[in-house]
Amino acid sequence: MTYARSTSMVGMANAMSTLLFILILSVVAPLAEAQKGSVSLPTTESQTLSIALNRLPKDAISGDIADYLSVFVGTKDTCCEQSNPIAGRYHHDDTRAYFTPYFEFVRGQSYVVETKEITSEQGLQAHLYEFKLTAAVPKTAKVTQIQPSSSRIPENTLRFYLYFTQAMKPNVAFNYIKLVNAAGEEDNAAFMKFKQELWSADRKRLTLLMDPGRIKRGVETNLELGPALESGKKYKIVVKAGWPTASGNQTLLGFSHSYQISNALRTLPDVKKWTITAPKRGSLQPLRIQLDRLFDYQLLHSKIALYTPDGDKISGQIDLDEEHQTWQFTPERQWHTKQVMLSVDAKLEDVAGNNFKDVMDHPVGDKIHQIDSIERSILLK
Amino acid sequence: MDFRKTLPLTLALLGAVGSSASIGKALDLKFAGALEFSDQGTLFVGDNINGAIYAFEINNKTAVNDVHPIKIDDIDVRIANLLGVGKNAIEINDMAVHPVTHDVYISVSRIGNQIAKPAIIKVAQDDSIQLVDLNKLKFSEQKLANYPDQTTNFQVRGLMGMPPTAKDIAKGDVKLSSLAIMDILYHDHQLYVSGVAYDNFLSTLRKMPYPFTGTQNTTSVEMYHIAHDQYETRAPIRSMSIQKVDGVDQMVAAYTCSPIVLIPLTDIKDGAKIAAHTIGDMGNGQPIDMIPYTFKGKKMLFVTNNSRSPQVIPVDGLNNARTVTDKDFARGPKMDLGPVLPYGPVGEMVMFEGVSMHMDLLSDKYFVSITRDTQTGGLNLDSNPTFFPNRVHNLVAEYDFPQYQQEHKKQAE
Repeated sequence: MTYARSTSMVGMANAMSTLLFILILSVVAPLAEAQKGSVSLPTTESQTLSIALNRLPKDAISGDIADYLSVFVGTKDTCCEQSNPIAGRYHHDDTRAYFTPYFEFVRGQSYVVETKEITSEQGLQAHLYEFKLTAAVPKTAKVTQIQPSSSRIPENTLRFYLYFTQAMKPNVAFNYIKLVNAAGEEDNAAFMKFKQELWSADRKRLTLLMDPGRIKRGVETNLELGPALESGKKYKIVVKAGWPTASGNQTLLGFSHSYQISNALRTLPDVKKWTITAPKRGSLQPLRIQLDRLFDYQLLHSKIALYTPDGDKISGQIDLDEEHQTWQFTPERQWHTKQVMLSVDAKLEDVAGNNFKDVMDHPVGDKIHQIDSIERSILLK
Repeated sequence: MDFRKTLPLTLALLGAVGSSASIGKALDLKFAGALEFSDQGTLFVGDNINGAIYAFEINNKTAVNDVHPIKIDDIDVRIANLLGVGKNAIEINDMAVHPVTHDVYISVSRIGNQIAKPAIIKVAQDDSIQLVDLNKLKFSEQKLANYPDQTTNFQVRGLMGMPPTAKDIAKGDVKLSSLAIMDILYHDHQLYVSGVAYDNFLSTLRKMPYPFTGTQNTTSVEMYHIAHDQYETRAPIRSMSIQKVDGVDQMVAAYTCSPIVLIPLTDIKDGAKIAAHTIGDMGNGQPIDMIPYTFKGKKMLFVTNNSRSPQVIPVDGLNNARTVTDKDFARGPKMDLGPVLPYGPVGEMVMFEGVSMHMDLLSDKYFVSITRDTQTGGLNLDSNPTFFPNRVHNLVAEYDFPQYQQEHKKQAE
């Protein structure tokens, strides 16, 4: 079995090893430009690699520079028999020969440069230089947003979402997340603590539930401790600095968000109270809905949909204003039908957990509305 | 009420959308998927992200008379190293053989610094492995009409009502457009492309002239699926070949699980919705490649499969084949362990040691295959003789014993 390109390299290396002393140098590329002897190693993905021309025999640049300068995937221990050198382009100026890989170098991957350099006796010596671009890892993690992101929330708000830039270390959330009142006192019984924290699959979104026992009227914890949030007062959700990420390589910067608390929401949501602004047919204008209350942020992205009269789901982008009072839908393609159908899943919940079927904190025996969805036809302008 | 559509839109409504041919602009290939060569050596590359077929001129006229059977172990490691990454950072997408030089071309996705980039690798007749510099080749491009969006993904399901596994769930992150260009076939200055179209996920057969003119036909294909016992309009043709059957040129096409259908080429018209003629079913599984070749002077189709050994279908057996419908079978799915499968003139399943992931004809004597080795698990680029497409390095039989060989040597003396 022969491999044209690597055979010539390997064959040459073997032959020379019997004649010449093979010097192996190990180089771990530092952050600054890495110049090691005659060879300059890359420190970023897109940099070239070069060797001083005076280290190569005179005929090198008239022939194939690849015979004197090659780069391989791997470490010097495994280099370079049975391996193909990386594909790339060679060029030279008056003083140096350069190698530019066809595809950029990959962070975290080990590479070996194999050179054949002239010695003082005008013989050739093989040298190996190893390098690895360090992975670009951010030094800190951050909370990117909290939902609801509004400044006012009702007293019986059930659910919050925290979004992080990195996957976070689990099972320590409540060492860092605190509900703090205007006097700066922490309420350690505000949030529901499960054995299993409610993380998204990528562990970058944590769902935070207020202890329903504090919300539901007449339940023991509600009677003992009172509601965690009281109407008319101000609170902060604080995430303390220092929470390690899942990889352990970063810690979180501190975060806090203030809420003014309004009266509890204990009624069913009502689509009839929504104000719908229809877009122009043939345009890419957004369709806007002024909502009757603060709804759950995640569900607003999945439980309201628009269809053509033929029943095709319209694809587009959903945006919310800062106070989450307006739901806005910008279509991917121009509106092309006279009317569109709005479909609201009855399981769409407001921030207090009330949906179109029943209110979260309803008296025993209250009737549950047997509906799956609410449909409205919207005439375009 | 659910407004979601259950019936597909006819493609006729959609007409000639977004079709164009372009020459002379900078290459912007985003994905190198399905590969095909014209008889003269034009390489066609399917780009499932751009929704286009790219044609590269590789018109090397140096014909090779004595084709060398290529054998390279760990082809994935070698390709990965050539691209500057480890073997887990590449995906091999397809393979095709240049009809004149018999060099093997392999399409690859190279993943580095969290970005996937396309690459075409050439394994030459001297066993060298080279990266093809596509920017140096003359190319033209044909955008595909009625191309599916880049946002719709597959629906998650488990095996026959069982809960989905983690890998089943991951299928929910795969875009339908990954099946938009499944197989490309060059025949008589025309390019045939199978795959899915538009956001309704219709099984589609496209036809366009080469050199590209900007015109193309998009035909929606329905077929009766014997094993699934239903008429299917979404799952696309996996692999295909054009053969003369019943005196006319017909597309012989294989679908997943694994029916064989015939489609007369004259049926492929723009906007048409056609019913393919189901004539057989090879048995449960997913076909990969369909390679026409000659065995003892007879035309054959060698059909590889990711779930079963390859099937060899004699082309003349397809003449006078009966088209079947739901009326020909009892209701209910048909499994391998039942009386129905295999069904029809689908030939024989043959021995193939290892699993071929991509295959093409290297010469009149050899197939070339990227084969998963059953012993090492590695990927080999192998040449397999067409008369018996096997390797014996993982097999130990009577013939391997020294006593056997000595005995036969004595007998010969």
